[in-house]
Amino acid sequence: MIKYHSLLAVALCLAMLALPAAAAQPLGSSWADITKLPDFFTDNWESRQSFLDNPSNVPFTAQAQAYIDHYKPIEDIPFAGPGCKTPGMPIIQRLGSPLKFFYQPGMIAIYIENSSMTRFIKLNGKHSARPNPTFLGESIGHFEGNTLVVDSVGFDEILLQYGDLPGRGKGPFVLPPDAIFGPHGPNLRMVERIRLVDPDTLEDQLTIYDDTVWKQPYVSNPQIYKRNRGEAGWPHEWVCSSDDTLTFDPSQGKTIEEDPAEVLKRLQHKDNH
Amino acid sequence: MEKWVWANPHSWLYIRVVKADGSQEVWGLEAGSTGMLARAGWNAADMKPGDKVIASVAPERTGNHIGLLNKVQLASGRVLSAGAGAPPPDTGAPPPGAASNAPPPR
Repeated sequence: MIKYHSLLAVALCLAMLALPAAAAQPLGSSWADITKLPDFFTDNWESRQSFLDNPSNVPFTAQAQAYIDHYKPIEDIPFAGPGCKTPGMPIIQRLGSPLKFFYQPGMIAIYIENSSMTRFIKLNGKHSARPNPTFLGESIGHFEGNTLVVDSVGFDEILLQYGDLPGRGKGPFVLPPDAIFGPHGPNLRMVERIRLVDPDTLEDQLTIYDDTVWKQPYVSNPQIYKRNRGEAGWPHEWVCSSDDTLTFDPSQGKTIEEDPAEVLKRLQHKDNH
Repeated sequence: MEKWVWANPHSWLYIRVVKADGSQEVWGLEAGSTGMLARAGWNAADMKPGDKVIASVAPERTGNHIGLLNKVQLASGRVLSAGAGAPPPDTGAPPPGAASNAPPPR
């Protein structure tokens, strides 16, 4: 009997030791946590701002300045042309079609309707030792109060906005000819702070770190999204299918305009064969 | 109406315009992405070749027969509008086509 009581006492002690460990699990570790998280998840979020930034005057490195000195503006981003090559983060999630958030313990996913891509944000984890390059980056997130902080690294050849051309991009809607785009360095890192401003307004504050481009971290303007409710809050499929209507010339960085009568002939010929 | 291309990143409406002197012009009108059009009440089956439609368009400054489609009145009288190819309403953005040949991708 004594032996049984001793074993029971040891088991109780172990259980008590385990309790604080369980309580210390960070937010986003269990299904029950969904009730404690800010409601990013109901319906979807539509950007209310320019998909390009009105950048502040973040000083460029000598390397970036040399690139900018020979920069030739583009008329549109490749996303608007045949093939719809994604611009990657952050531009792809700033375009006009909505974002849809999902949760499971240890992960938040964001369906980006533009291009039907999905970001997977690992909660409370660590970056890989050698993340493979991707257009959305490898994202690790955690909650600081009601703010989701997301740290992303491991980027492919994304369309990175360095800034705007002198005197351009001052209005509320910045377009590709206003901006300077360029290559990123090997240690490009993006940190987002995502929070609800009110129940129907979401803010994503982005800071970009790339010491080959800027002498200081690039702090973007907060991107504001409004919640679409009801039917508008339902996500849609998005498959690029503009090859028949548009011709994009990468050497000119723009979509070539054809006579609509010729485009129509091509489309009707395709329909008939 | 000649062809309604329900596509991403943008849909296109091709119409044949009969002018007062009897001559004809083919116009290509750029609209929004399929998801955003659907949210605004549009459908891929809204128009078929041969339909008579009235299109409200922001034409290109170049004089090409290309423009941004703002709204369409179908043969039935139904009007489709609200956001086709245009930026969200409260961005303070310039009118569609004012700053570029192409609308902001949506």
